[in-house]
Amino acid sequence: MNDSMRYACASCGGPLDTEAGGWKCRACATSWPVRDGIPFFSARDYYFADVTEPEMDKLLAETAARGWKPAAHDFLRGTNPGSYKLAGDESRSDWKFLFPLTPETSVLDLGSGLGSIAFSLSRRCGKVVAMDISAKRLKYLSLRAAQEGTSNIFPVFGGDAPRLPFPDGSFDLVVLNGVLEWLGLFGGEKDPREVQLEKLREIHRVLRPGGSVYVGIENRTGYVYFFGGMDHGGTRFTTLMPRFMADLACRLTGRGSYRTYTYTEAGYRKLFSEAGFSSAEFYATIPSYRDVYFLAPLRDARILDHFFARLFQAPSLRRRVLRFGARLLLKLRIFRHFVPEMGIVVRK
Amino acid sequence: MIEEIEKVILAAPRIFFPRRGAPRALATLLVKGSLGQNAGRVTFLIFRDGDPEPSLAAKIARDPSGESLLDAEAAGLRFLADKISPEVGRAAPKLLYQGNCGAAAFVAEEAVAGIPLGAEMTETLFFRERRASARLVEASSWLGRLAAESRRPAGGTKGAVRTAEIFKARYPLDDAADRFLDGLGTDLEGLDRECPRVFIHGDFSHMNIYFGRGGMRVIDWAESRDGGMPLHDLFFLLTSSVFGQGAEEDGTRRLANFSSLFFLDGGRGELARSAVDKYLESLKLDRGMLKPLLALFLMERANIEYEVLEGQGQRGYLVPMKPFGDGAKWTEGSLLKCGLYARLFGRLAAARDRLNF
Repeated sequence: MNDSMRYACASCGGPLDTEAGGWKCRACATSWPVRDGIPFFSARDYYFADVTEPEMDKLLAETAARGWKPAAHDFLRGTNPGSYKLAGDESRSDWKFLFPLTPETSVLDLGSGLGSIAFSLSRRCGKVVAMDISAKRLKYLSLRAAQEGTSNIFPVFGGDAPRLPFPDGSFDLVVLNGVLEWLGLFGGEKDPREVQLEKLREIHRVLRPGGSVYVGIENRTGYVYFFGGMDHGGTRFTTLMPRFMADLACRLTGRGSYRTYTYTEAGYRKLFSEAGFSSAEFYATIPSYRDVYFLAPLRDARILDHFFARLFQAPSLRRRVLRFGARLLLKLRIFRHFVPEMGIVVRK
Repeated sequence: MIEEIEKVILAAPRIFFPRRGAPRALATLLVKGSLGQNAGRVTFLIFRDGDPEPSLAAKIARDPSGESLLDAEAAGLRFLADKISPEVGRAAPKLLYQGNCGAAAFVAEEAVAGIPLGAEMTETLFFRERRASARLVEASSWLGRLAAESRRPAGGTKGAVRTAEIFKARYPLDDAADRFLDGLGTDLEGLDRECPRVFIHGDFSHMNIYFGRGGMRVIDWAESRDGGMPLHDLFFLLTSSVFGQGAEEDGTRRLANFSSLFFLDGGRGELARSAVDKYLESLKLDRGMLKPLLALFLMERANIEYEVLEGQGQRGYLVPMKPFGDGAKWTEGSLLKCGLYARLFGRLAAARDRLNF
């Protein structure tokens, strides 16, 4: 149990007192256990990730036995190269340079996964809370931190409940990289947008005045969707449909209701504004928000044009067509509507 | 961090825009650099007002362990500004600032406009090999002038011999390569004793050479150093260039490229000969040194890439490379980019009597 972190009750927001094996809320008397040094603010353990659960079990065993580096390299790299990159490549989070990070900065990485973003941030920030709803992923992150001797990362289990287990104004930066679109899955029958809005209001609450949120996410009208690009629910063209029609399409194809909402730039602006944020700035994350090689403000067409004219490598006909199309859309001033993925800096 | 850097720039426009007035506004394009040995660095291309091209390139280490890269870059650019004639030195960007932004170190230099040589070499559509080749020879000529101006006598250190020892200890060599390396012993001692030392860029790939209205420009000097072996940069350029193929990262194409450039019946031998001749026009060098210098270059690169790999392994993430990534082991690392140079060394050993120059 780490006493240098301040938590609040995930049920009522009340202050917590230590008790044997965990925390207890002074207001509503709910107990929150601490297991292997990780505070648990949810009773449900979910597992969905790019690494299958049996792979994760093996990875955990190898990490404990041989250390996280040999385990990641000799096991994960071979079985699941994509996750190996997600877990180890800290340069994926170069978007961090959008923010004024100092040894005093306190960050909440919501949906921290295997932790590459949290570790990358921990090298320039004072404190990083890595929150996830998979105990196994947090266990991995915790093992890695212990083996590296990293003492400023705090794994926390939870995030599925509407309330975040932190006092008001706890963080300078909250990271939602590939997370916002999935929140609807945790809201039962509630409208997915309402679930997202609820969580964003909570994030607003735990941010300090002047704090920021970084959101890495898809654009609902990204050009890839017009060419049959897959939506999160495993369907095609659903992002482009009205929500009721997308829902119907998902139900008819046996995928349940449509709950992984993404938005256009205007849609995100409205969402953030309703959650109480003062402004949002949009960036093109190229090639993807999961692995940013280039980051350019969407409002500035000339910078994007410079990128496509000078830095975008086009050795194949396909990429030349892509470059031509992108520059045409920029000239027509409609590129921002079709950019596939975005990084959004939202200010409190 | 971007906002803080922009504030530093706006507060001192005379430093950052010595020939222009203060800008009204700045905007930034973030460009991720490679990971390298110690996390690498990130570049911010900074545009002022309505300019279509960036004016500044600000560089920041990805984490504090990479700040030595910024020092090396600044030292290299200072060397070029102070010790090399303006005619040659103007190919490098001007260093404008080295300092701190909050807790992070950063350097700012003049941004370079133009098209990278790599883009011209790897275009498959309307590929103009003659133009790309002419530019490669122009770059070789510039390298020769840089070498001639920075030339200094051999220091008598045993660098070449040591490089070979490390290489031999790290890489399992076949009989031919082993014999070739043993036979090089006296030549390497000769290089240590007599070969002049020059200033080298250290990462002179076709992606770091730009051609534009201002002529040829060279970026990314973080690997530069004084006292390197002649021809290192030229051999780097020739071994890293792949023509018209569009898959620079595919190592097998580099193997084929090496044979086509460096061996008598290779197909692109004329280009390599012209490049070497242009280099030697400025830096007079005994041609007998070419073969041991090429062998030394391959061993040195193999050793450097091995250390990069070790550094990445220590950090927990190895960048995959094709095809040398298949089967690479955490403890060995003989099959990634360093494996490429070891294989090239093997090719040189097998065809040592058919060298093109």
